[in-house]
Amino acid sequence: MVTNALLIGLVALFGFLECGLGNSMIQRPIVLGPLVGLVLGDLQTGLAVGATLELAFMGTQAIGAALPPEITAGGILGTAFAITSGAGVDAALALALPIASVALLIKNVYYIFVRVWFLHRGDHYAMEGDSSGVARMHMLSFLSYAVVMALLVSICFYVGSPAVEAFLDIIPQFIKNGLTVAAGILPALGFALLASMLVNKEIAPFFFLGFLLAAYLGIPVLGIALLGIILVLLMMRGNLLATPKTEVSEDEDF
Amino acid sequence: MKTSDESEVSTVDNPSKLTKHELMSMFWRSFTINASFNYERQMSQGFAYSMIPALKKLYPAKEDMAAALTRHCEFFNVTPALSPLTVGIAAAMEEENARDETFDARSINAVKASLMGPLSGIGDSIFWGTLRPLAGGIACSLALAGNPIAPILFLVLFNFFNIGCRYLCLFKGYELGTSFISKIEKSGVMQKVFVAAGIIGLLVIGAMSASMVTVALAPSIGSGDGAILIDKVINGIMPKMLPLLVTLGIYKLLRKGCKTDQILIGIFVVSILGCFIGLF
Repeated sequence: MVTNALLIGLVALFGFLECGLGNSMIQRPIVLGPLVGLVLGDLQTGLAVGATLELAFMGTQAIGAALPPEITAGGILGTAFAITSGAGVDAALALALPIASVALLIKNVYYIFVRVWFLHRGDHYAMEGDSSGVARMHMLSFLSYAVVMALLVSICFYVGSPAVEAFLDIIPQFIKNGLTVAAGILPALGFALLASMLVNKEIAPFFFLGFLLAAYLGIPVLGIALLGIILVLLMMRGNLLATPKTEVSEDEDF
Repeated sequence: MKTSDESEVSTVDNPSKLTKHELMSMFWRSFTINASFNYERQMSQGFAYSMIPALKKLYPAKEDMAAALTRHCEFFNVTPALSPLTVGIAAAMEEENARDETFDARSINAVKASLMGPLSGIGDSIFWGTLRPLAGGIACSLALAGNPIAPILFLVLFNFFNIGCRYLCLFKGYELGTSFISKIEKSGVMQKVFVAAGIIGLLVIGAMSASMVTVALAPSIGSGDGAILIDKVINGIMPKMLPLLVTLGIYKLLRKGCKTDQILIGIFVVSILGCFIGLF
């Protein structure tokens, strides 16, 4: 049991390294399912569960800020519990979904608190011109998450599915919801930072134009950028592109 | 994957010209562009990490290095497979910035920002919308028939395009950036191009504020079937008004000198308390 838990932890570690290995998709159920099957000695079930989960989660990918369930932990534990309980393919999906939702919660906490802490530490190194400090924070942010998640998956496998489900019920719903709400608001901080870098009086209205086109007409971001290119080309032809004085005052406002 | 930043041996005399050596190093580093993804600035740290080989070569002075690193700590998000294109273009622009004192360094981030939307739009639909379901579908049919080659086939299919695209993007991006800059410099429209990039950048940021920031209110007026959701009323006045107000509010706070850490904690406290009292 301990050996199996360790092996499952290693499979999880491998899967969670995906985001630093060129987003090579090694975290997908179709890859990790058979791998879990292999370490637990039931490759055939692993293959079948992996394929079933892969098909179920096929559409899930962070596009923009929409949050898909965390399929790495969900896929591994779903497959593992399906094999150890002997319940097979059907039970795997029922187990994988709640686990994936809670893993998403942990991921949110990590992406919001821990990784942002590393991000801000990195900012300090950047301001000092210390590139190895920046690199170190990036790597710690990456690897620490993989290790923490692998440990959690390993522990969850060790304590078994009923204990995991009981624990999930303890977390108050308003905290779960609050983190989801915060994850929806946070990109606004990134955009505000970006805008404050680009904005000056001449071009500030374009922020609102972009917003209105997306909000009222629902034009995707790509469409708006393409419209922007045409707009800029037309402005160039009409010689309307204001070339601001090189000294643009920093405290211009919207 | 390189994690150390030891000084590298330059193969040519010109210290302000990037070589294949730096570009290859950036290619490998960009494999981690998504590795420290977070909800504040998403891939910014991975972007800065990918830029380091170029910056080390171009900016021997500490203060220049600091300015360049800080520049690349801004928000970044492009479909990972296409992101090396932005890295390549930014590297070419940094090269120009190191050489030409009159170069407006802010244009580098303006160009990055204007590329995010288009590249993600193309990349998401190719890689997440087409390639992965395709590779997954083929592999799943094999796996369900019990063929253990399925996961390997899946990875090979996906990564042939993923890694090939990354390689092409980085080198083509650098070439494109270099030729583009020298061309517009000769014709003397540099400043205009930067204003143009700023305009497209802001359009995209405005659009992303509408599509990627989500704020929804839960309370309603009245009760039962006749209840009117406040959120619906607000969106009736102007769709996505709350995300806009939140983005502008945070912008104001930044201009007033609030630290990002403080704003971050504020967002949390408001979100969790808001859920507790039923606001969200």
